Amino acid sequence: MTTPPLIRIERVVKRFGDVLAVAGVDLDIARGELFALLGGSGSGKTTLLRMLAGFDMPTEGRIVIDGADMAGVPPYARPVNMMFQSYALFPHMSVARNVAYGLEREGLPRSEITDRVDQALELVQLGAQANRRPHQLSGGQRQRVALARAIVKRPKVLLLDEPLAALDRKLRERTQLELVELQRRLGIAFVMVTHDQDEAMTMATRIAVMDHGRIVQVGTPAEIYEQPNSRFVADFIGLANIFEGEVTARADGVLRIACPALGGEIHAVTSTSAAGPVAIVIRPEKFALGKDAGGLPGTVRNVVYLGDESVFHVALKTGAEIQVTRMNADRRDAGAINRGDAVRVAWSADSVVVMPR
Amino acid sequence: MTGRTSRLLLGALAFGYAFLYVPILSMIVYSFNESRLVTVWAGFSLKWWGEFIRNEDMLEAAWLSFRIAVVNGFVATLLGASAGFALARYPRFAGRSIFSGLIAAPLVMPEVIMGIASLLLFVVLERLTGWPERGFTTIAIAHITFSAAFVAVIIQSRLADFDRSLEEAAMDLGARPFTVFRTVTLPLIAPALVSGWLLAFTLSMDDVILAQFTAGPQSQTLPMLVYSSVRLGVSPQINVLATIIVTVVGSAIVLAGWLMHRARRQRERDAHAAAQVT
Repeated sequence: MTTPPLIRIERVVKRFGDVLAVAGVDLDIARGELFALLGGSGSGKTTLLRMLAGFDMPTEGRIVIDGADMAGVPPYARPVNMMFQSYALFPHMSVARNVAYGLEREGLPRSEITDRVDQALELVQLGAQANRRPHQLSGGQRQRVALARAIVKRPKVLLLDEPLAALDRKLRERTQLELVELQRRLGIAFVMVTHDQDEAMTMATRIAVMDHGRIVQVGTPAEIYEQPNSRFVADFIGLANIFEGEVTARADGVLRIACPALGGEIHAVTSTSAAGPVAIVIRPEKFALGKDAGGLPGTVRNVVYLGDESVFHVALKTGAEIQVTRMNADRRDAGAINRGDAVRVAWSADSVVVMPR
Repeated sequence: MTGRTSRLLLGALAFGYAFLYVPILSMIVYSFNESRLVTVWAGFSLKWWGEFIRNEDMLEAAWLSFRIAVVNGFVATLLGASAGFALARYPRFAGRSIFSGLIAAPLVMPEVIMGIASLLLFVVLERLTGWPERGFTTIAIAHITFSAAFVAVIIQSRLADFDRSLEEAAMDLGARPFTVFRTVTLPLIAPALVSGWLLAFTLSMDDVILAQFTAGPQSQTLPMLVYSSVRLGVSPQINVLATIIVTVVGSAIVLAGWLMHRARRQRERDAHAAAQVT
């Protein structure tokens, strides 16, 4: 990166008493990014976000936002705003007063406050609800008030703590795209915490996968999915078939790997220089499943019909059990594969991900 | 339901309410009695109401009680709320459990003991420094020590389920700690402060024991006056006083109930409206 990053997190550690919440994180986030911190509960993602907001201070390391060291800078003096998981709307104020709150703290003239509040409410399509109280609004409307309140101050970074967790599924999917659209329009960097991998994949330009207070992998959604760097990431993001193997030879970017679970020696096209014992990941949609085609023989143990696709649990002759997904492209599938059918599975050397065990 | 059961239930209901309210009703009725004997009805009259209004002692005692109760309400709310904040917000400071126990002690300690303790303190203080003269000040201080504990408990429990992210949001939007308190925390705990104030006011208004110990020879609160005059024989003026108190308290309860009912109706309408826009 040639331009200095908007946010630089350097060797940040956070301890609460004996508990190590964040165990040494280094991370750069650029301007205009929609960055997702993805992890399970207790992974340290929320603590990291709260340290960016200034509610918690790092035990070690430092955080630099737009060139300024944030050590000792209280939340009210930081160029960031946060959208809370609970929305944290002030129940004793109208929607307009909620949005105006941050601007009033800056001591701006009344007319400018009114204009900017109107703009922000227009942006989230809540102009008509300006005089309502938060408890008079639906969940989706509250979410948008919280958003308007957080962006009206034009922060350099918008922090979002599980922004859509409280919405039902349909609304959540629609709102994800609206948020992305808004982020592009405003050009503000978004840093979002989520435990929902679909949400992170849908929205983020880059994702940091966190586990036990550390960042396990940082990358674009495609990199994280197609090139996981560890079993943890492969397992955490999407479905993964994971096998163990041993590298036997390497030539022209092709690894030969002894993998008993996949019937002996397999090939992998990869740039990794892994040697010795390795883990092999093949995503379920990368397998081709057929009754007559070539490939490893196996038996279908179970079929999970999901509408758009089906998940086949296949017991291979080698003893391994794999999951294969297939789109249900044909409404009346003539060659339907059912439970108990003998099948063959094949895959290309391209779709094999190899990582150190 | 058979007629018999229904009549039985109705009887039980009537009996229950009679048990609660007949004494009060009869007291009210007898405040309009002509006779100077409380128990003998001698016809309707406003004679004792007139006597009551001309009774300097009674009015003076009522005024003293009222002043003490108001001062007590404010000071106890301030002190109690501060203690409640400390208990709710700094959960890890050293000696928190001891402090917490000490705050609750006045709630369970016999008032007689608190009365004696306060009296001894005031006597010693007065001998050493000439202050305080026993009367308004000493009664008020004794009442404050007692009722601040109640306020502390109310505020503490209100803050226990206070959503801290509201304060964080305010701070995130640029409010300094004092502004956060003034614009977010205070308006949201205001109902708890009001009920704390009312409780402190009421505790002070009907306290006999602490006042008995800490009052000087010249000062007498209303409960003290009632208590001592009843021992000399009940005057119908007490009925008048009681009627006034019952009327005031009763109206306050009805008013509060009406306000709460209206607020609830409003919330229901809002919820209904919100459900329709979803």
